[in-house]
Amino acid sequence: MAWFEVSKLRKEYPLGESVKVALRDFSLSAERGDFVSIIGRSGSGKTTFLRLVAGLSSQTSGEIKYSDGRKPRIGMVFQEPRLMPWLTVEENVVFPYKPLGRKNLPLKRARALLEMLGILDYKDAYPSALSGGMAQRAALGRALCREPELILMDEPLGALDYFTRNALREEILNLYMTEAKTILFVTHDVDEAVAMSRRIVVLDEGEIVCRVKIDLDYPRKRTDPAFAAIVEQLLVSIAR
Amino acid sequence: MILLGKYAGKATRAAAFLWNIGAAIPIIVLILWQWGSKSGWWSAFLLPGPTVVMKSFISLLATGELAENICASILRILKGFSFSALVALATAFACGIYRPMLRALSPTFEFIRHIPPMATIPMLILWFGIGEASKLVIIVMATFFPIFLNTVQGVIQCDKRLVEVARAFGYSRAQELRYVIFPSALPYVLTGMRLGLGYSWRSLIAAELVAASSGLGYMILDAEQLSRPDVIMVGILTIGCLGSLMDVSLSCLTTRFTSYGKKDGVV
Repeated sequence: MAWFEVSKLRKEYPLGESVKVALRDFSLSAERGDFVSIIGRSGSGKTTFLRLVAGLSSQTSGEIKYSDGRKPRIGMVFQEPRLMPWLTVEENVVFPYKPLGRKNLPLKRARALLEMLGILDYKDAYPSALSGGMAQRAALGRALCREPELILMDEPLGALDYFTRNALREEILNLYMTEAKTILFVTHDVDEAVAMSRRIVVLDEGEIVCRVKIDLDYPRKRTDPAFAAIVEQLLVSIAR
Repeated sequence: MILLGKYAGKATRAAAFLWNIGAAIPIIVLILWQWGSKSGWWSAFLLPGPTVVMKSFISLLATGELAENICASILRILKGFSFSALVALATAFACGIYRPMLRALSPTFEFIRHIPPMATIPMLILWFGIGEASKLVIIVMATFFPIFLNTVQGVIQCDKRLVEVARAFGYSRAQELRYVIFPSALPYVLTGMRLGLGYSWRSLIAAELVAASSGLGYMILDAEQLSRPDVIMVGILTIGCLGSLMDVSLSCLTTRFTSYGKKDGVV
């Protein structure tokens, strides 16, 4: 059995008089240190899947299992930073530990993360003073501060401009290479998914329509013919 | 940028001018009051001059009468306000989180909310006499709804996405309430308390005017019966000053806890 395994997951939502099926027969497995991207059009069920894994909603049927039998520590990055406006950047980063009390906050780790993400100078600033990119970096720091075993990223670069997006993409990749966390990454950007992940799953109307394993070395170049071929294959499966 | 700077400068100057005018108004009123009473524009019995009022103020201070009445009124406010705030906050958080409770209580609360506390004074005197209880009930009635309604609004307006963040990091429901919903609703809670405190002050004085044996309202009523307009003026001015002081204190507290990052620039 793989470390993380999802089998025959189904999620239904009531929609007026009818029922909308957001996920059907969704099965996926991942080992520790895996980087799996889930791509697809809007409304294909990508975010629903992440929310189920995070425990933010519950599945209609199916199972989410871990080989060691316990739910791992999860760090989640949302499409928007979702920082607490009344907390400083540093306090936001240690937010997962807040219930432990002031004395037990891992401030050292928070500062190291802020330094790694390039926003240590802004540790005492409030979210209202940050740019979109900085706020998303702080949100990434918050997810990492908990030393998560599984990181869930729900289009974390979706709302950023081109340059910030590229910079943050590099940072996520560096993190993945250095800390070897298991990452489930949702995006609708095919190039981004190919550049970053080891495996890609294409979703369409709640069903997996294509699975691709990527054996290219990092850093990946878009000009590489193998890169372009994978992008082509994915685009065809999405357009089908 | 230069153009913006020019307008910003003008705005600052205008704000400074208005602030100066605001500070000057009480002084102008005081001068006109003194001048009018000296020149005989009105009867000194109907409105004694500031110097006469000041003399009465000093004499009431010296005898300890003023301090005694201030203490009586403030003690009532403290008792009534803290009890009311506690009940209103607990009910509001419960209603904000569990909406069926809000729907169940709404019709009753809407009915009670529209009854002015002063209209219940005769009944309260019948039930509780002119002792402390009737005044405390008046304060609770005046304070409960501003705090309750503002807090419910704050809890309802709490960004659900922030609650989701806490849930994703494994917070329990109680921790969500303490670390996300409460801080998010805090500006509303403090606004409600500020409004409630103003209402409680006003209704208490009114209640003391009708039925009391101590307090600032009682002092004013007693002075009216003794034909001492100077003491009435001392009472009125003291009420104004204490009310403003309470409001400023709560306003400072609100600013202290809710102005996160408002002075920072934006990157």
